[in-house]
Amino acid sequence: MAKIELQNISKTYPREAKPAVQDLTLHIPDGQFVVLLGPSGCGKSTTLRMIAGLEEPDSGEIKIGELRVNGVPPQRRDTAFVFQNYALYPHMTVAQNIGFPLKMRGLSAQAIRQRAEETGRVLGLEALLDRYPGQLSGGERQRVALGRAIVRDPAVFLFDEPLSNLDAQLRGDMRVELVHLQRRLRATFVFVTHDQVEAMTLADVIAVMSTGVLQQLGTPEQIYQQPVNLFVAGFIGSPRMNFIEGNLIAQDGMTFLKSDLLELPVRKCLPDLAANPQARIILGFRPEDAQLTPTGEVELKLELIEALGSQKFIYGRTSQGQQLVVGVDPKSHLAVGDVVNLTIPPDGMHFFDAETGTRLSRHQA
Amino acid sequence: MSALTTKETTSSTVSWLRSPQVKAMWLTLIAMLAILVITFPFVWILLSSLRSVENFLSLDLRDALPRSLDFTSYRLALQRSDLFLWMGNSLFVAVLTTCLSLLVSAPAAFALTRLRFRGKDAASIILVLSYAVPSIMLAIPLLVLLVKMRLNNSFIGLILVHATFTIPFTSWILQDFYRSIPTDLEEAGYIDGASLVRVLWHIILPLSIPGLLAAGAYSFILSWNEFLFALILLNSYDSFTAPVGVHAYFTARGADESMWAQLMAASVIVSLPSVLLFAYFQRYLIAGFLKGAVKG
Ligand SMILES: Nc1ncnc2c1ncn2[C@@H]1O[C@H](COP(=O)(O)OP(=O)(O)O)[C@@H](O)[C@H]1O
Ligand SMILES: [Mg+2]
Repeated sequence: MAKIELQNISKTYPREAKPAVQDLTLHIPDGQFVVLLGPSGCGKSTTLRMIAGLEEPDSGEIKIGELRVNGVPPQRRDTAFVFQNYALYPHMTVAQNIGFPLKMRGLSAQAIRQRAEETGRVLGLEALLDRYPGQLSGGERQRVALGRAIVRDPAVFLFDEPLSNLDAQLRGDMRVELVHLQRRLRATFVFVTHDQVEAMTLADVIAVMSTGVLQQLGTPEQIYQQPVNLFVAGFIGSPRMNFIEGNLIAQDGMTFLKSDLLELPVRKCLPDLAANPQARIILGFRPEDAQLTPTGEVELKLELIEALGSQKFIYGRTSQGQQLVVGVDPKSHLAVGDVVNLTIPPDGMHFFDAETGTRLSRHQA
Repeated sequence: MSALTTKETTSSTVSWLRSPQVKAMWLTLIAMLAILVITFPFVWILLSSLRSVENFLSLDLRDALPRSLDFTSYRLALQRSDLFLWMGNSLFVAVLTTCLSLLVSAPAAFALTRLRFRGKDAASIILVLSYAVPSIMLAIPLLVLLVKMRLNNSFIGLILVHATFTIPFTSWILQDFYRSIPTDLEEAGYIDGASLVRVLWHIILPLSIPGLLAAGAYSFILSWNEFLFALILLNSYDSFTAPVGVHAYFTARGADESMWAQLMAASVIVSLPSVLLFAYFQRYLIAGFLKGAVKG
């Protein structure tokens, strides 16, 4: 059990122009389930591998517990790592795979077998202990990799997209199991994924990354409700948040967002900005936050309807050509070509600086 | 309309020529031709060794194939020369050469494929280049060196010399093999607490058994068949390796017909271990051993 502290970590791979990770500071308290989330190539794996000691940062400090681990080889960092492809030893049985970390610690053959059997029982692998990895299904291999990680009570668990090779059903089951496992072990979990649903369901805290830079650190709710910039706002949520670029203009005691494609009264005021009509801003709202009302300010002509069973999304265009997506009651009867009116409640509005992309709301996270 | 038809026929002719079956037929034909050219000398030796001594040098085509299997030449070759002694020497030299090569190249190839260290690129290049130098150029310097070390006319000296060309070769085969092992497996090993040496011992080597067998078989055959250095280095009758012994025995006597036939028989006997070894180990060159290491 240990906390992890990354302090101003940077890493550029040899012969690469761009840094894989840039000035990353991340404090992970003991016993938390932290998910590193971001698109492919944003430096998640590199970060995880630096915690494990498989890569060394160019600069910055890494601490596990109270110990500074820069330069400490992976063998002595007391982490467990679950690889995307499981990395099971193909020439060892399931029991030998699970027991390998114990063997390297010099336990007796009998003790190893006993602990491997216990761990196998916990993970429902009793019947498979003497099989080889080649004789297992994907889900079973996943469990063996998990068993090899938990068998020796490491200080931290590191997971690099371990569920991405499983089918949807199994992935859902494994998520639940991982959460239970973490609750039971009370260990520090760092879990890497590019899948926002996975991140939302697993995490105590999500760290959103993009191009090697940490964008936002927060609970799933914070990340969803108060994205700190355009990247996070656009990356989290499906379908994507709607963005409308324009100027804020104060008129007759009201504030309007005036864009080339839309003119929208904005009830939630940003007084200092409204006073400055030069500033370009971006209004964002989530499809599920907009409401259809006959008196709505925005008229939308429907072009596509996406019915997902429990949810329904309509895609359409304003008369000036601005494209928008709106979530509607799944039981509503709408057809392509219909014109609807929608309103955006003040709580659902997110404002961003068009130039820097940063959030402009008063209750900024 | 007619233009269209013409076009169609041409294209169908072309596609017929390019069809997979025709391609396969051509390739098979070429392969068979190559095999014929390569195996002809050996087949000829085999046929000659079984021919009766009287018509050994006959130019009559009907004598090309032996009329009946005649093992007289084999009996005479084994009785009159010390073929078994020499083959014993060869076995000793080849086995030790193979062990030495694997012992050195298994970790060396690992370092060259997986570790980062200064001079790594230079080491790789030297390894390949050393293979490109004709061995006759090395003969005199090596001989001088071994005389200075008092290792001439000794098996140890010959084993060291053989190792100079088997080690680059086995390193090369093993490097190729190691590259096919996912790095995840090693990293998992380090995470699980294994040192570099234990990763090599517990993970890399067991997964490389097919590669080690292939590399070992090659180095054994190279050493077993080596003639030039064995001829230069070994100068007592009892310490000859098989190729040198056969050469010495038959050059010491006149080349009459019965001697030729015995030479053929001796050649067949000496080649047999290489052929058998190769036939047995070639399947390890196709290694499906890594199945199950990663996602399947
Ligand atoms: N071993 C490596 N050598 C060079 N560049 C690498 C290496 N590993 C990753 N990279 C680069 O570093 C960046 C971050 O990669 P990675 O951490 O694997 O991203 P992620 O796991 O988020 O997909 C990418 O641009 C990738 O191409
Ligand atoms: Mg990755």
